[in-house]
Parts: sequence; C-alpha cells; structure tokens
Amino acid sequence: MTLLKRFAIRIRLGRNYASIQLGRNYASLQLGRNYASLLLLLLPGQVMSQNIYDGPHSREFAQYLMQTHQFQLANAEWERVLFLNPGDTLARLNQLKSFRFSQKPAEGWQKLNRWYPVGSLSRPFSLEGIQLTLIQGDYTSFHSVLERSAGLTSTEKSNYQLGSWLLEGNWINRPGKNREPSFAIAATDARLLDLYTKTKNVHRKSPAASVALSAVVPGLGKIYSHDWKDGLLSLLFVATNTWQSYRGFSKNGISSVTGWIFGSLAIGFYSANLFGSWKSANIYNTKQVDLIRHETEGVLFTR
Amino acid sequence: MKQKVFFLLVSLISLSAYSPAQTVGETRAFADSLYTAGHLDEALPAYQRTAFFIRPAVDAEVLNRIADCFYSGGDLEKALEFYDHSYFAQTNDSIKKEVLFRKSACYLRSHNYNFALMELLSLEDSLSPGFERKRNFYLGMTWFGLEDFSKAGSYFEKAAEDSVSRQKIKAIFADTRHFYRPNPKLASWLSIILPGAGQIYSGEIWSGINSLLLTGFFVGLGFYIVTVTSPVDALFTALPWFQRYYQGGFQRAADFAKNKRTENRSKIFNEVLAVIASTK
Repeated sequence: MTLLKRFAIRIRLGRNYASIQLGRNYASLQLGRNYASLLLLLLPGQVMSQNIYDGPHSREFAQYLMQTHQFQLANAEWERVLFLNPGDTLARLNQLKSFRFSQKPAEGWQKLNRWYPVGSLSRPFSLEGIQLTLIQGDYTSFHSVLERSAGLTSTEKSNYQLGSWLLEGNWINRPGKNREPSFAIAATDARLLDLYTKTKNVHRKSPAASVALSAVVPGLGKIYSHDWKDGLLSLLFVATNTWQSYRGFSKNGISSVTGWIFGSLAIGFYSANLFGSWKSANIYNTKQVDLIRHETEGVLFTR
Repeated sequence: MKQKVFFLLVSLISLSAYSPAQTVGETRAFADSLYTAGHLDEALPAYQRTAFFIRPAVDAEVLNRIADCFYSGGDLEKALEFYDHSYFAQTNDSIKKEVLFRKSACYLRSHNYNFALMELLSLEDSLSPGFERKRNFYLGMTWFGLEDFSKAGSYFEKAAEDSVSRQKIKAIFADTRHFYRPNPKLASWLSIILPGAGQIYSGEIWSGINSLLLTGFFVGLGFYIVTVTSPVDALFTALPWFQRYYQGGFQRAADFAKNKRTENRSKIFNEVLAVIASTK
C-alpha cells in the first residue's frame, strides 16, 4: 500500500451522518452530523484566527504602507513593530525614513539620538542622520553625524561636506579666494562640483554699497542690484518731485505751498529709495543662494 | 479506540487554534464600528489592514469603505483608486452604480468636470427612477461646473421630484445671462473709459468712488501744473501717480467682477440645492 493511500483522508457527508475515513483499510470513524460539522467548521477558523497585529504581520503591513507612500500610517506601524521588538534595526531605519518622507525630520532626528546617543553610527544610520539634519538645516548636528559615521568613505564625507556648504549658503559672504573650502578638493560628485564652480561666478551685492549709490543718485543702488525697473521709477519719482519743489520755492520763496508739498514727497521718496536699495541688494544675494540651494537639494535628497 | 482518541485530539487542537486574537474578522468588526461612528480617519488603517491580510481574496465592501475614508480625508486621488478597485470587485449592479456616482463626486470635488461627465455617461440609459434622478442631479452639477447653464438647468429640472420644484428651478435658469454677470472684461473697459465705473458696475461702490476721486485728483493736479508751470512738468509730476492708480483701478475692477460672478453663481447653486433638498 502506498503512503498516499495509507494516509488519504476521505470525508463523506450523508443526510444524517458524516464519516471520515483515514486510508483504505487503516481507520475510519463515523461521526454524528453535528460533531462532524463542528469539526469541519473549526478548520478554516485556524486560518482566520491569525493575529494580524503581531510582529511579522505588522512588519509586512508597514512595508506595504511604505511602498504605497502612506508614510504617516507606516510610522505608526513601525512604532508597533519596535514596541514588540525594540532591537529591530531594520524597523528603526524604516521608521526614520517614514519620518523623513512625512516631512517630520526633527522627530526622526530625536529618535535617532535616543537610540544612539553616543558612539559610532553604522552606514545606513549615518546616511539617514545626514539627510535628517540637512533637511532641517541643522549644520552643527550634521557635522556631529559625519564625525560619528563609521561606514562612510572619506570621499563620501567630502561630498556631503561640500553639499552642506552649498546648502548653508554662507559662501556668498566670503569673497574671492576665501571661497575655497578644503573638502572641495577631495569631493568627487560631478554635480556638486559643478554647483561649487557656479558659486565662484556669483558676485555678492553689498547692501552698504547699494545704499551709498542711491544716496548719490536715487535708484542707482537698485540698478546695481539688478532691479532696473524699480531703480528707474525711484529716480523718476524723486527727481520730478524735487524739481517741482525747487520750482515752487524759486517762484514763491519759502512760503510756497507747492514747494513744501513736493519737497515733502521728494524727501519721502528719497528715504524709501535708500531703504529699498538696501533691501534689493539683500534680495539679490538671497536669490543667488536659493538657486544654488535648490539645485543642491535635488542632488543630495534624491539619494 | 485509537481512532477516536486521534480525532478527539484533532478536535481539541482546532478548538485551541480558534482562540481570541486580533484576527482579520475582529479587525474588520472594529473598523466597521469606527466607520459607523463616523471616525473614518481611524477606520482607514484598520480597513487597509483587513484588505491587506485577506489577500488574495478581495472584499469589495472593504475596498469601498477604504475609498470612503480617503474621500472623507480629502485624498481624492487615493479615493478614486480604491473606488476603481471596488467597482471591479463588485458583483451587485446597484452597488456598482453607487460606486460610479462616488467616483463622479470625487471628480466634481476636484473640479475635473470632464472626467465626471465621462463617468456619468458610462451609466446605462435605462435606470431605476431613483438612479435616474441621481444621475440627472449629478449631470446638472457637472454642466454647472462646465459653465453650460442651460444644460445644467434642464438636468436639475429632471432631478426635481415634483412639479413645484421643477417650476422653481425653471425660473432660476430662465435667464442664463445673469450667470455671466458681472462681466470682468466689461468691468475692465468701463474703468478704462471712466475710472471707478468698473468697480461700481461690479458692486464695489466705495472702491469705485475711491478710484474715481484719486484718479480725478491727479488729473486735476496735472491740469493745475500745466496752467501754473508747463505740460512737461505735469507729465513728469502728476502722470506717474495717475498712471499707477489708473492701471491698478481697471485691473482691480476685473478682479472684483470675477469674484462677484463666482459669488453669484455659488448663491444660485445653493438655491438650486435647497429646492432639490426640500423635495426629499
């Protein structure tokens, strides 16, 4: 007799009975209808009674939520996984990612520090820590992560240092040759190096120089900051009101109403022109930094 | 005897396996209770968990409720995705039609009127009276969104249950010209010809008077300067001020007219809704 025939189970349901036959000649049992039905009913129950909130199921579901970009729900799920198994490093890493993707880098950073307050960080956690700190603009913490990272090569560190230097934007305040950090030499990322080269060609506009120019010729400071339209308008307004004021005073003397009205308007426009020139230089500088920053974010944060 | 013990053992194991745990069924029941209580944002993860762990089986009602949760939370893209899944998993024709209406609602809410139209026109021609009225109502909203007000009016009329409501709706849509008033282009031109006129036409009386007075002042100032000094002086002194307020005036007139028109249409739409709701 083959194994198959010996252990085959045959279930027969009759009108008033149910019988289960095990093997051909081996064993059989005839059961009452109710008992057999109950037995058969319980078998699927075994499948449906799985606890879908346990560790393995929660992990599986969390991964599904990550794949479908539901990061806030995924975060809660990873929290459950970690509650059930606090030492699960993969779950920790995924939770940090879920914080980052759901726009909560500060919370992710806090978690990372709670898990690893001191000591070296492995490569995946270093990379995640770098992303979290750079997204927040916390460059002090970024440097501390870099120091603690054990799994990054020196070239990679140089690339990230260059990236953070570009993001920080202080390069615009360092003229000419001072704008050459040491890690730029060791960096190898072509896109970052290209952005670094671009920064060398950006000329900072001095707010003080802009104000000084506008003090001499109204609107010239704005033109210096590449705001041509506003500069010409300022010149026009100040000049025309000043001219009218002069005309009024020269015709009717100090008691001229027109002279005083246009004179006040001219002083007002002149003061506004000085303030506007200072602002336009700062706006220009900020725009240059933002352009480089946006491109750097595109390089660093898609990794 | 041995066989009886064997089968008794099997029974006991099965019974013990059917012990209390957070099973799929319990999760589903929990989700249903949250859904019924209106806590859709909390029901969503429970339903998603249920749908995930019953794979490869598919529960059309669960998919539908997931879609409802997303719709309630404002995630219309996800809602549409799950309404689609639900539609193809449904076997009941009536529920399938309901799903199509919900999809249309998603499109209407996201102002994708053409897609809403596609969904509504995909319904079969002969529907039960309830579904027919619902379709007419949705088509009315869609054509209203597409700014074809005469079509919108005719569908809203068909959606009304009694003749009194139909008459009221007919009266609302009798003259569709008021849906296009005030006209932003006309407002703009009026303010170009006479500063402030466009704002007054749009119903912003004080803004119109303000614009008129300001631009009038600078015109007067310009003439005064011409008589006192010279036209060149007026050109350089009063003209920049006049230009600034004049240009701003007719641009604002067009904006006012656009906002007013949107407001008027909303009021008319609410009137129509009130009429239709009063028949239920």
